[in-house]
Amino acid sequence: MATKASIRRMNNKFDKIRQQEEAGLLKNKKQGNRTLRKLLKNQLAVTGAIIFLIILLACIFAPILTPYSPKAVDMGNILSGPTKEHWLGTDKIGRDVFSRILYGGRMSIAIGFGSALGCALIGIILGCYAGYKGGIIDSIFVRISEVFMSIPRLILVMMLAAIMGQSAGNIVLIFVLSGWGSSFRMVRSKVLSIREEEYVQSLEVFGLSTPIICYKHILPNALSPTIVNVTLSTAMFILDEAALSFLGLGVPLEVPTWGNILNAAQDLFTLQNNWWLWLPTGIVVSLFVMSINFIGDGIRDTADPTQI
Amino acid sequence: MKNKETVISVKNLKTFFYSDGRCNPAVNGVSFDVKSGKTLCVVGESGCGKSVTASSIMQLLPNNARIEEGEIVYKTGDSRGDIHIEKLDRNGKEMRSLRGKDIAMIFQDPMTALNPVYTVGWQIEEMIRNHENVTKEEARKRTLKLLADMGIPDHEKRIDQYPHEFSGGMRQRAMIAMAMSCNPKVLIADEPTTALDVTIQAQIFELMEELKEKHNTAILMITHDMGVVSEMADEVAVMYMGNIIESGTAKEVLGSPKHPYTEALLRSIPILGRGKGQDLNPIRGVTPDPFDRPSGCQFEPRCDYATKECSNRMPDEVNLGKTHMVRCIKYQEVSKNE
Amino acid sequence: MSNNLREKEVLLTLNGLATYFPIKKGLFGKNTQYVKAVNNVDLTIYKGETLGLVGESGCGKTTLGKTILQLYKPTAGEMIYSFEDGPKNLANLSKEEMNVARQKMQIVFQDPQSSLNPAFTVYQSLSDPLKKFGIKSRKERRQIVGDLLEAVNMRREYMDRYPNEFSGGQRQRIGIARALCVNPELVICDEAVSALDVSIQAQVLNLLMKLKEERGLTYIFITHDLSVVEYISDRVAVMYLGRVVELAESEDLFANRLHPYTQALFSAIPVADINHNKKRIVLKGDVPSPANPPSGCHFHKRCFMCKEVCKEKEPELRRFEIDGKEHYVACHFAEENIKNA
Repeated sequence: MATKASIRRMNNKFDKIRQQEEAGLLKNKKQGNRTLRKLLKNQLAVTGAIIFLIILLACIFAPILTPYSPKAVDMGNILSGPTKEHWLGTDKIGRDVFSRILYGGRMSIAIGFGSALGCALIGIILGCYAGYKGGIIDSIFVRISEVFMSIPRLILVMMLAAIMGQSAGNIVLIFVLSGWGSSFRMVRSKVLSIREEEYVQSLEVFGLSTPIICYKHILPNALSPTIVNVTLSTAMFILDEAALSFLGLGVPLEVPTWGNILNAAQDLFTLQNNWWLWLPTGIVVSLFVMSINFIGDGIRDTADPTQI
Repeated sequence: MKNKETVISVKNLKTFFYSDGRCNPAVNGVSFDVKSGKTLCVVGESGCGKSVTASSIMQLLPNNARIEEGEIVYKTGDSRGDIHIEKLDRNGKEMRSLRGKDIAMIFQDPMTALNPVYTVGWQIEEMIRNHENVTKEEARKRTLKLLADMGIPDHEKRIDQYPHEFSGGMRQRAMIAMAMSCNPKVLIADEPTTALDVTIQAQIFELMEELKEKHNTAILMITHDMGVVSEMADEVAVMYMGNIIESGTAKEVLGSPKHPYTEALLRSIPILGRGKGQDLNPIRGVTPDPFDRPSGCQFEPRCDYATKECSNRMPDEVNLGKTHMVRCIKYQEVSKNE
Repeated sequence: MSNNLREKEVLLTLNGLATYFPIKKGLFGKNTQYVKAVNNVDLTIYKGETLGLVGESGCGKTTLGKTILQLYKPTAGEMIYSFEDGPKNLANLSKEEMNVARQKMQIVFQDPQSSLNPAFTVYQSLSDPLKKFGIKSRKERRQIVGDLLEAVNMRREYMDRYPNEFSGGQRQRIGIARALCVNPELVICDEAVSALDVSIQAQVLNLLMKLKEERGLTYIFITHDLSVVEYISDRVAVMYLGRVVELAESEDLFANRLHPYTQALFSAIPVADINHNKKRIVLKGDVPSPANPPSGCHFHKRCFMCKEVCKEKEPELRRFEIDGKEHYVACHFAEENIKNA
C-alpha cells in the first residue's frame, strides 16, 4: 500500500517529467539501452556491482596486493594479531591471513561460478530439448532431475569424497550433479510456453530440424531467467563450499578457500581469542554473496517490464 | 416515462501515464456525460485512451498514472449530493464504497475478474454483504434471483460452482450478475464481449439491453468494434489519440460522420451484406507513437483533408446541433461528401 | 466471378478428414476420451480460389488448417494434394516428398505479437527457411528477403530491424512475407486480420488480395468475422463442432442461408451500418464441448427448428443446386429451407 509520503514523492517526480515533456525537452531524447539505464538507476544493484568488482579484482590481482604466499609457513610468527606486516594477522602456522583471503577467494569464486555455469549449461541443453519435444523424453528427463535433486548433498559429497578423494574438481562435480535440476526446470518451463508461440509453429511448417528450432530460435528467448539464476546460484555455491570446507568435507585443507580459512575457527578458543582468523573472512564472504544477490535481483527487476 | 438525467459528468479529463522518464498524455482533455437509461459507447483503436477513461472513472489506474486535470462528477441523486471522484483517495473508504455499489464495472476477460478459489455464488453474496447490511440467507436469496435474472440455467446448482466450471459466456453473465448485485446506477463495460463468440455476444447484448430498460441503468461501453456500436449505442464518442474527436447520437455519428477519422474508419471496414469486392479504403499510415505526437490535430498526418492550419493546434469542439460535436476545422468539407 | 466460367482445377481434396485429440485421464494416462476437433470433413479446394472457413471458437477451423499443414496428425481420412507429378496423400509422404509439400503450403498466423521471434531481426528469422530450401548464398538470401518486404509494401532496409520496432500491422505484413518466401501455392490465413486494429485490417486485406492476383495464390481464409469473409472469399464453408454444416459460393450463401446455424450466426453479427435492419436470432445456450457433442445433429440443442429426427439421426452434407450453383447443407430440413429462401 502506498503511503502518503511515497505518493507525494511520486507526484513530484511526475510533475518534473511533465514539465520537461511540455517544454519539448524529451522529444528527441536518445533512449539508449533501456535495460542498462534501468540497471544503473537501481542503487542496490550498482552498490552490489561495485563491491563485487572490488573483491573480484583484489582476488585476481592478489600477487600485486600482497607479498606473502598463502601457503608460506612462518613458524616464528604464529597467531599474531594484525600488524603492519601482516594486515590481518597470521594463523596457527604463521600464514598471512590477508593473502589467504585473496588467494582463497580465487578458488572459492572459481568453484562457485564454475558450478553455476556447469549447472546452467546442463540445464539449458536438457531443458530446452525436453521442453520443446515434450512427451516421453520430457517425462524421463524430469524424473531424472527429480532423482538427482532428492539425494541429500552432504551424503553425495561424502560418497564421492570417499570414492574419488577430496579435490576442488570433485566439489564442482558434486555441485553440478546435485544442482542442475533447478536450472533445468526453469529453462524447461520457459520453453514450454515459448513452444506455443506462433513463430515456432511457423518454423515447423517450414520443416526445419529440431536442433535448429530448439537451440537457435527458441533458446535465445529462454535465456534471461537463466542468467539471473546463474548469478544467484554462484552465491549459493560459494556459501555451500564454505560450509562443506568448514566441516572438512570440501576442498583439501592445504588449498586456501574461504571455507578452509573458516575451518580453522572451529574451536571455541579461536573464536574467542583470535577474531582475525574468522571475522574478516566471514565479512568478505557475506559481502560478496550479498553483492551478487543484489546484482541478480537488479537484473531480474530490469527484465520485468511492469516496473517503472 | 423514465428520466434520462446525467449520472456521471466528465469534464476536460486528463490522465497521463509516466514510464521510463517520459510522459504519455493517454487521455488528453475528454468531456462527456453518461445518462441513466442510455448506452454511451466510447469507440476507438488500441491506444486511443478509451480504457484509461473507464479506469479513471473507477479510480483503478495503475501506480504510474494519475489524473492531471478535469473533473469526474458523480451525481448521486440522494443526500450525498454530487461527488467529485477525481478528488477522492484512490483506495479510500469513499471510493471503495462507490465501486460496486454505485458504479460497477465488467471486464473483457471474466476469468481474471472472478476469483478462482471461491464459488461464484459466494463471491456475489460477499459483494452484497459488503455494501449492504443484510443477513447471509438474504444475500443468498438475492444471489439466486440475480443468477436467474441473468439467464443462467440451473442457477440453484450453478451458485455453488467455481468459475472454471462456467463457460466463457456463463462467466460473463456471472460477472454481470455480480456487477448488478447492488443495483448500480452506472455500469461500465470494458470490451465485454471481445473474448466471446458472436452467438454468445448476441445473448450478452440482449441481457444488457434488458437491464438498461428494467433498471434504468446508465451504461458506458468501451469497444473497438463499429458493429457493436451501431447495435448497442444510443450515444457515441469516437476517440483518437487521447481526444474525443466526434460525439453525438449513434445516428448522427455513424449515419453522417463529420470528422475525417470517423468517416475514414467507417469506409475501411467491410460491411456484411455488401458483397465481395465492396470498396474498402484503408486509412493510410499508422497511429503515431504516443511519445512523438503530431503538434496539432492528432489525425493530421493521416488525414485526406489536412491543411497547414491543422498542424498548428488541436481544433476546438464545434457543436453542430444539440448533441453532435466534432473537433475538426474542416468538418464542412467532410459533410459535403455524403 | 471469373472462377465460375473457367474450368476449375482441384488443388486439394479432403476425404473424411478427422483429427482427434486424446484427453488423458487417470494415473497412467489411459486415453478414455477424445476431443473430436475435426470430425469427418469432406472439402475440395480449387486452384486460385479463396475459401472462407468460418465458425465459432472450438468449431475446429484452426485445427483443420493446421492438420493440412501437418502440424497435427490426422486420425482418419485423406488429404489429396495435386503435385506436379500427380496427386498424393499428404498424410503419408516420404521425407523428400514432404519437403516438396512444405514449399507448397504456408500459413499466416493471427497474433502479430507472437508470430515473430523477438530475438531475431527480420532477415535472421527468414534466413533459415530459405537456407533449407536451397538458397545457400547470403547475398541471394538478402536479395530475396528485400524483394519480399517490398512485395508487402515495406522498405528493404527493415530486414535488419527487430520485431519490437514494428507496429502490429507491419508485423502482420512481415508474417505474410515469411509465408511467401518459399513461393507457396496454398496459403492458410488463420485469423490473419482478427488481431489488428480496424484501420489496419483493411490495409492487410487489400494486400492479401493484391498478392493473390500477382502470384496466383490459393487461400484458405480461416476467421470468425463474417464481414471479412464476405469481402475476401469466393466460397465459404461454415463449421460447427468439427463438421462442415454449409458450403456455398460466397454470394449464394449470403443470399440464401439454408442451415439454421448459419442463419443465427449471420443474424448475430453486429453490422457497422446504422440503417441495417436489426433482427437477431438469439440462440439458446453455449457451444457444446467437442469432447462430448450432442447426439444426432450436433446443433439440435440450440436449434430453433429442432424436431425429433434431429436428436437421433445425424444429417449428411447434401448437395443442392440453387439457380445452377452448388450449395451443400447438412440439415434434415434443407428442402424446406430452400423453399422458404
